[in-house]
Amino acid sequence: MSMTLIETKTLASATTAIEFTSIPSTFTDLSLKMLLRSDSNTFFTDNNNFTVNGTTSGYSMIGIFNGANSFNASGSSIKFSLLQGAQTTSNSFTAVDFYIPNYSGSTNKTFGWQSSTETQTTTDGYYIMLMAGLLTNTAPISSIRFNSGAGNFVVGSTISLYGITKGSDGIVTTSP
Amino acid sequence: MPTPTYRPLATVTLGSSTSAVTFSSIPGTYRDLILVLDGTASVGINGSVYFNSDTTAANYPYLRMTGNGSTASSNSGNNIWFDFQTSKSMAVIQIMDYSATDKHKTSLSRWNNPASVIGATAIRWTNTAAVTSLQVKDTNNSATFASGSTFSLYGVIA
Repeated sequence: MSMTLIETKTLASATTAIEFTSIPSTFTDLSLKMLLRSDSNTFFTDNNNFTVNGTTSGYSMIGIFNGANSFNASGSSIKFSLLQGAQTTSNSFTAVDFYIPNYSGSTNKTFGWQSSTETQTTTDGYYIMLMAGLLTNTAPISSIRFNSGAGNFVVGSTISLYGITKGSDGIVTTSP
Repeated sequence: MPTPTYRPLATVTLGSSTSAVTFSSIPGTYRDLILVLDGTASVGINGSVYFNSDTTAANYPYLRMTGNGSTASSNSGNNIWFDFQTSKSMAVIQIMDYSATDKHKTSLSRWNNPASVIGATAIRWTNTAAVTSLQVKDTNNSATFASGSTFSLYGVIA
């Protein structure tokens, strides 16, 4: 089995950040599946961000919003979503599907992810975002931290971290 | 949360620049295939994936959306699965029900070069044959993937 659950964090109390530390370097890629919501008294917050290894420089990102707009940014962290706030439909969460290839290698790190919210109300709004990030740092990733930026992540917010291992089944052949 | 099970089928890490990477003898025992690309190209390229040695562009119609950091657009055409640039790029391509013989093969490709472009592509192979091999290369057949680029193929168990 090459996709292995490393850890799931599900909040029992509201908190401003969810962090995975001591990530083993024994996998090839990482995948994270998230359901997140902020208790900030807004519809959506855009102050959230993530960092890896505590690094606070060298980040850049690019994204598409609802297939209609594109944006980019750079700085000390990467914004990862429009995060639902307290004014959106109760019990609805922002979904994020995150992929990090070659996280333990010695090259710059890339990130690819999708984020979406579907609350079925025009008041709340709904969106889908496709995003990518780059960290110009070659250190293996051993920790990753997601910060709410505004308010807390609410109880029930959850992130699962998976490790994916490349390899061979002994059947498929390759060239070169 | 439900967790798909990936099984590693093969990985190629390029020891030198190469124009094409091929996976052959793919068993039909999985539900989907996932191809993960990470690396760079000799020039900015549109990339293609050819099934079972079928290199007829018209057999791979696509619809895709792209963004360059300031504007977004969408277009359709044939035989463009992903973009790869001279700086760090990646793509994750899922090929659904690849071994079925009663349906055309549908793929979803999400790809990016964080420095310049990001996109998603839906593409269909207009053929009902089971996919037993695939080849990744520059659509225009002129560029190479750089040394150190990795190509990993996984089977997904449903």
